[in-house]
Amino acid sequence: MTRSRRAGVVFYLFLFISLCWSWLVVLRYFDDDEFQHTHLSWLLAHNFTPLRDFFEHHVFLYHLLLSPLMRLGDGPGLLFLWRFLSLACSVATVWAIFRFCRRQDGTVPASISTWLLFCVPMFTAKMIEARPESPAILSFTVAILLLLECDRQYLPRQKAFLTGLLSGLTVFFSAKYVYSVFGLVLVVSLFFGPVSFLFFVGGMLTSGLPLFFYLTVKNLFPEFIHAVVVNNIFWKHSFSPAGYIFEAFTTSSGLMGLAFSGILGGFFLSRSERSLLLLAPLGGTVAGIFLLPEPYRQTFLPLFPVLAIGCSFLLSHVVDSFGQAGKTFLVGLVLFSSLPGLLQILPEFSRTNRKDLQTMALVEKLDPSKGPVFDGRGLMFYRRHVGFHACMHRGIMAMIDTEKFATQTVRELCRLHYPVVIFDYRVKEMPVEIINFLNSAYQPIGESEVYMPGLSIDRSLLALEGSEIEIPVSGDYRISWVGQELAIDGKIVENNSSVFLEAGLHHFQGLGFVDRLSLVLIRRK
Amino acid sequence: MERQEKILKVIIWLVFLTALAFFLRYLFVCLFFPYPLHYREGVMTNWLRQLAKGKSLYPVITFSGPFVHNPYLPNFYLLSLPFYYLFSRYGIFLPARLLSMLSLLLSAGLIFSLVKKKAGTTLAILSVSLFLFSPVTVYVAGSLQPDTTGLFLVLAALTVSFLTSFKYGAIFSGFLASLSFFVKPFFLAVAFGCGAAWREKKCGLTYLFSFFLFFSLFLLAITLCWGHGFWQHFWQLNMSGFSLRQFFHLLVQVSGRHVILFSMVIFSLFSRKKQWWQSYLICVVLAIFFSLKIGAEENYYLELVAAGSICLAFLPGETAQQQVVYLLCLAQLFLYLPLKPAAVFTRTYGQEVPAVVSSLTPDFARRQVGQLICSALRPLPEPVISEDVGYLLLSGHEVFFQPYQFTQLARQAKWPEGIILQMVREKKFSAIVLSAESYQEKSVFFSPSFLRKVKSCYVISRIIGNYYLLEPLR
Repeated sequence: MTRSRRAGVVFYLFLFISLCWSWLVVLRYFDDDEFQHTHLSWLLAHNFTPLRDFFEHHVFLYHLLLSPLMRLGDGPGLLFLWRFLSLACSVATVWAIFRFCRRQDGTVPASISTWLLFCVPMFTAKMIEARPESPAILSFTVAILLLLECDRQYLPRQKAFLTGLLSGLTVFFSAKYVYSVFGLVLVVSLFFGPVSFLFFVGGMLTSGLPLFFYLTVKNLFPEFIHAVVVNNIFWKHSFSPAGYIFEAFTTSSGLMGLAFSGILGGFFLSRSERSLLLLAPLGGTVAGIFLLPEPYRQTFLPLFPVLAIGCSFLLSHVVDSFGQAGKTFLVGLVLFSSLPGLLQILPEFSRTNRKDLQTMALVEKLDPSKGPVFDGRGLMFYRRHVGFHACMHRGIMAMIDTEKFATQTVRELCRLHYPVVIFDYRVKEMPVEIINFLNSAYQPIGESEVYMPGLSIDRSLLALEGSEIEIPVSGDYRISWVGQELAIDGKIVENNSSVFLEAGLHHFQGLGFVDRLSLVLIRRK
Repeated sequence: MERQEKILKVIIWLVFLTALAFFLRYLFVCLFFPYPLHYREGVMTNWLRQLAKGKSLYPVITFSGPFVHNPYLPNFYLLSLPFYYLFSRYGIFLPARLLSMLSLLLSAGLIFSLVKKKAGTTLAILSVSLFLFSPVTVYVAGSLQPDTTGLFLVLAALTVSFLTSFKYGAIFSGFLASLSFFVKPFFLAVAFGCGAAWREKKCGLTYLFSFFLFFSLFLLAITLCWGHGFWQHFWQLNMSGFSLRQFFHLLVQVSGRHVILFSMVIFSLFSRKKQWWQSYLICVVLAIFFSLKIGAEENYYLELVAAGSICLAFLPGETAQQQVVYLLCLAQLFLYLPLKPAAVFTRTYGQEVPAVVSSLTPDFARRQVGQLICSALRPLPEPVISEDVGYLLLSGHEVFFQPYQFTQLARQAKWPEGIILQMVREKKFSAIVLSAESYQEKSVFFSPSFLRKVKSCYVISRIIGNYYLLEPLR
């Protein structure tokens, strides 16, 4: 293959990968974590103090750095901006790996490893989400590549500092990669001299400066240590990594197998330094997968860049050994290695974010006031949440006093004059006191998950003289029932009409048989 | 460099010996397991028993029943018969399992000798490892099936074609190729492969004559012995239809775990040295299309896995570095790691992969389930329906209805299901044993109309492991 033709293939490869990723950025469904991360940035941008005004258990360097962007506007569009930033980091990660592998192993092995990396569904899906893992993986990858490009004995001070800076950023972006970075720390401390190691550590500490500065200014250190360090160490909710290990193995088997042999082969084919350097972060990541209480898919991300580098090394030897005849072998490798992953990625294109966007639009329509919203996922990430906890998943639920949480939440809902509620699957898992309160004071809007203040009144209360019923919030209510006429405060009202009611007691009376009476707030006063 | 190669060889031997120890333990546990390990085991053992009793292997099936179908050609049963006479007192599944397992180990031996001759001991060990520890081989190895015996005959025919060049060799390989066809017609590729080999050695006509002679003799013997019944079982009752979805599912599932092995096959296929071996490989690859047949499983890839392993013998001549070939083989062995599916959490806290997929090696719980089902069925009068007909044989019952085959035929409108539905309505069966999946209408063993009828006329009396025992509603 000529040089220009090779360049063409690489160009189209990257174009294809970028187009697929862009498509996923725009259309793929939202992961719940995306709302949590963007909401945290929004809160920081709007001068809320973490750990005092709201709970957070992530290291918030990423959120702090991106928070100025939250001032660009509001609405769901911001989440796409975040996603595009992740996309940029993903493309940069893949490009960095490709460049390094091309220089070391040649264009063909580099292109194949890049392609196989893209065919890993976990990598493809998680790297474009609005989450700090994407920049964390970029900095982790570049740190590894910087080390790989050095001689074994000599790591220049500037490079040591830069590697440390990138390693530190990896941990400050996403603390779950502390084990992977520990592998790098081990490599630098064992392979390169103490001076290089000192500069490396210096770089790591420097990466945290913006965060340390923020914590000092806000006097948040004790809270930060408790919520982010102690809490995460003693995290109660946990599950086995077996399921995701099986998923990773079956969908990226080709890459894993080739990388395994590539790293092993380094010890036999004159690249033992490279193999040792790859083995340390790989071992760290594997340890992390087993040690972290909640090894979700994003925990596996640091594996894949390392595997791609290892894979490229073996492929370079395959190309050298097989020569021209090896083309068919490589075609087979690419085909059989890509198939399982691609078949898993394809459905990602059809699982869209439409439902979430529709829910967001409905909430905006029902309550354009930009007031708070109560839900479990943090879907309305660009608006205030109710209570101390912005998102409530099983992990956080296991760490808190649920009784206290329920009492506080109900109190807050009343204090905030019954804000919009999105009754998502996480709300359904909340304490029964909250569910009972929502069922008594809220009504669903059509078939959606969105609930507005409202009442469902039992027909026995409407019979004969009727009853006094308390309306919690002033505003226009849509009123509907089955049966004969209904009077509110002595005035006959029309079925399926909108009625303005002030907060407080109102007299409801059925003039004949009235059943299934419900009122839903459609516009606040 | 030499020292490094030695270390690599030590690693290869260590990997091989460790995996072999686990594999032999697995075979041993499966061999002596007294209960069925696969639906096929009950079906085949039933026909083997019929043969031992001197009854027909292919009785003519009428509308009054019993509704039984023999999906295989007679050679496997005939080869199993001596084992049955010798070992059936140790368990009804043991004799044919023993033949299957011996065939597998002999196949591994043939692969070893073939590759060793061409590429040396280390590569021979690697190719045996690639064959023996493949998930496909492990899947078929533990249970009774005709595939390993068919494969052994295929490999024997290939070995004779490889190693000899005189006329008797051509006659013998013709005999072995036709014998393997009558174990399972899937093993047709070898007939073409050996044909190409003997053509290169100028003995093509002798081979062709021998193959067709033995083929005709076997066919004649079968027709004379079982006549109309044979054709009914082999043709009419075998028409269960085709599924493209199943074909692609299998292809992706198997190729994902055999990335390097299948790449070797592709490499050998397009290798510049035109050899008879390539003709054989083309036929083996084409034979994969047999897995379009509904009910096909991973065993349809067994011959391809074996052929891929033998391809290793041809690689060193094409590559400059032996170590790269070793590393590629180790990469392939890494992909054979027996990881099991487990539950994973999703954003809705659901499970994407069901956690019910259990280990291949039969365990104590499975033994207890077998014990309880058999003791529950033993005192019941005939007829009884069991999803796994193996339990019927163990509890002394005759097989009246083979659910899988006849449900597939009913789906294709090639068998009137009304007769069996009528019998269920009249509560003629003293018991029906269904798996939980079938009861929840999530399996292919029974039709929805059958299950509806069963649920209206029968009631669950016991739940044993994954099985529901249903009795007539009084």
